[in-house]
Amino acid sequence: MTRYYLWLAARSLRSSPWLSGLMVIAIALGIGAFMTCYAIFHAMAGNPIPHKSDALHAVRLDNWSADQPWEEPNVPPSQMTYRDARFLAEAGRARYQTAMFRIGVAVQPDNPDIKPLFSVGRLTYSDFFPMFEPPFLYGGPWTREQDAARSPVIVLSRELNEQVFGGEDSVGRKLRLDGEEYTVVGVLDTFDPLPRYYDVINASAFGDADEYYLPFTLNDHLQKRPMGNNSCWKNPPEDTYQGYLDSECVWVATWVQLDSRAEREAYQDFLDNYVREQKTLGRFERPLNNRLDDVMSWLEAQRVVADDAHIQLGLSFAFLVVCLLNTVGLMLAKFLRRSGEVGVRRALGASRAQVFCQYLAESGLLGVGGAVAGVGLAWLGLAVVRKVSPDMAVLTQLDAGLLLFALLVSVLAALLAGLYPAWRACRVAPATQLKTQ
Amino acid sequence: MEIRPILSTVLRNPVGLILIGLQVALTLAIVVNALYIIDERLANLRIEAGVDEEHILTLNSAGFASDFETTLATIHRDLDYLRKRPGVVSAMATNTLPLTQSGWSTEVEAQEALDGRSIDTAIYFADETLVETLGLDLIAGRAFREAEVEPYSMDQELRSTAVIVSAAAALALYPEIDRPEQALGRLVWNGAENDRFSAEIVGIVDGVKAPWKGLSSDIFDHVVYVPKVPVIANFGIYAVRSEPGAFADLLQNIQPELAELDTQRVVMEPNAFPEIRERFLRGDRAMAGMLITVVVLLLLVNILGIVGLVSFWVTQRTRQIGTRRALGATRGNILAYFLVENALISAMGVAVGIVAALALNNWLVSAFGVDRLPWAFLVGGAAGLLVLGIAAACVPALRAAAIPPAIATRSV
Repeated sequence: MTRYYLWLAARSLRSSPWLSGLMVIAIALGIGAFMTCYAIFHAMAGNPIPHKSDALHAVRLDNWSADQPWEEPNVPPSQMTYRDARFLAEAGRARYQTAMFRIGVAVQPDNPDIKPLFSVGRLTYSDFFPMFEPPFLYGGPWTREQDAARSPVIVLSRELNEQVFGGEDSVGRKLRLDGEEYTVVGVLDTFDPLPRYYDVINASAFGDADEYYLPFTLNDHLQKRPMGNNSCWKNPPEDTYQGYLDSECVWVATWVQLDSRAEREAYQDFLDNYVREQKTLGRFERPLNNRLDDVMSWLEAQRVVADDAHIQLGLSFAFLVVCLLNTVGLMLAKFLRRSGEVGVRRALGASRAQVFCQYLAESGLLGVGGAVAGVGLAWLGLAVVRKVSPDMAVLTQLDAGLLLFALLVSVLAALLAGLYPAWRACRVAPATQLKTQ
Repeated sequence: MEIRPILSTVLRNPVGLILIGLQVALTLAIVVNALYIIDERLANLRIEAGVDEEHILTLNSAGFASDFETTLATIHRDLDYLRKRPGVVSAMATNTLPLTQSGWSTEVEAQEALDGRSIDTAIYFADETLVETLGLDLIAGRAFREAEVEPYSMDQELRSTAVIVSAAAALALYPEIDRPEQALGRLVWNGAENDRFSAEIVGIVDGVKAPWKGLSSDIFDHVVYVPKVPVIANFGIYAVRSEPGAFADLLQNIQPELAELDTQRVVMEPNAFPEIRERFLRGDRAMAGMLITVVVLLLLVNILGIVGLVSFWVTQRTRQIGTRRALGATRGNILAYFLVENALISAMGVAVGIVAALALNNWLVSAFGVDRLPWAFLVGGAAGLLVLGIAAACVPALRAAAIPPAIATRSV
């Protein structure tokens, strides 16, 4: 029966190609615009690490000025002071924890044919690797013992390994950065979580990866300033690098892994106790305001999905609705034009339900046509976005899931649009129709 | 022409009213809000940075050694080379440029007391060549003197005795003056509560922009230049202004030349200012482009919808139209009937649309900080959509008017 309806529907669509084409175009335009915006929104709002996004937590302490919050209403700073971050990272009270910040260095390859290059990487603890799980191509992470021993070891990104070592297994080789030598212990494979949730403050959440990772403790003699956001509400106690480390300036990110609710609560207590203790030393003038955010709430708090993406999604959805209203009108015209045909079918014994189904099948078919053309338009739209904003290229992928979603939305929308016209068609009174014929 | 019978026809079969009316209402809501956002974004695209945009590039150097003396020596050597190089108008060391999205900002006060007038402002580093190097519009006072310019390391507190400020910053800092020039010689205060210090405003420049737009504050026009050569770890950051015609050559060759000058460092790819500007405006351009596309398609879909539905009505009513014509109605009567019918429906749609547009705008204001919709957009959009609706209805209405009276005597 369904096949028969589909055959009827296809025949009917072919018989008025102009009107059918118009309906397909209307649906396709709506789907094309909506899917273009939805694909970008979906990529921005995605969960970058689904299997443990509940366990990974960004830590915030409120060390800001008593006079005004970091941001209204009473939002603590997005990053931490060096001293607090370092204390938390080395206290070891969570399963895994790390403090980190980005630095820039001059890389001096041994091979004289390769020019020195400027490269941005990350100072972090060895826990970074089991926490965020970057895939290794060669070797592995350094150890907690090497953290403590301030070992000059380095993990390279796949890209930097290709630039400096031609992509071969460089574990054990030496690399010179800013005049000092480091031993390669691991090389990562491509590591592009979308968004780059563990650092959305100091780089674009959809931007390039760090090119290398070094033990945080090396900063004791590297004395680096961050390549990223740094905010102070009062001056450092003295005009030296040590003064900067001891200051209330925030520029270090801290993440912990807490696998259960109990662990989370215990860690919150630990944080609050730490801050209470610091208060007795004259720091932390604001009321207790320490936050633990898991990955998804962190991304939301940091507004990783751009406002523009929200607005575009909303408006393109409204556009889709207008296109559907349009389709309803066109279908009504098309279905009722064939009232005579319905009259004959009804007179020959077709029930109302059968006529209704027949016309719904026709709507569904239109939906499929609209989906195919709409996905084509979305593909075109995303290609244009890529051209206008190359830095958004990673956000413009149409994967199988999105294609299926487009098909689903389109067919559902077309069926919805077809409901009323099909109902009207099946209400046609056969007698009147046959008489006027 | 009687409107009442047309109105009652419309109300008796409200499907058309609902379909077209809703379409018009939603379209008005979207189009008006989208046009307002588009207008705002297109205005952003015309932003001027206040510097000689076509001829400026920036260049960074990172030394292998990061001690203060070596880095400062490198900066001096590079600047010497750049200033002597043919094609270069002027060059200086700085921390950042307008529109780069990265830089420094601070709060400065108009008086020694901390609780008086204060503004957020961007901080730029500059030397005695500032006005020449960036092509600034110095509207009052003077450039920095060579003797005022000192090297600055990140470990120091940023103190200077002279500053050059943007006209907008001067007006914001001293609301009592009428013209920015009057701020000349006044003091700008900074520093911690128990350690205040001031700098004299020695020059006022007009139109120069901060590296970024503040979310809530109007920092974008607030700029303070301090006479310092920044020695930031192992970095040298240079702004270079080329002679007209020499820009492409400079952009291509300056990096290898500097790299050769001193091999104990990395010289990064230069950034042309037009490129910096393009990156700054990318989001606005993408948003405007996207919304313009939606608006155009929306209007198109609307026209198609109205033409389609009115055509359907004309077909449905062919016999009635024939009968009316046979009973003496003129072509004009028939045309007018359909146009008035459509105008009635569109007007009701527009009425609902105005409410919907305001509701949509309310949501945009509260959720995304978009500005409130001006009435002109609402009124203009409503009028435009009404005209468009009637124009679209003209196509099938003219066909209706052409139906011959003889049709009444025929069966379909």
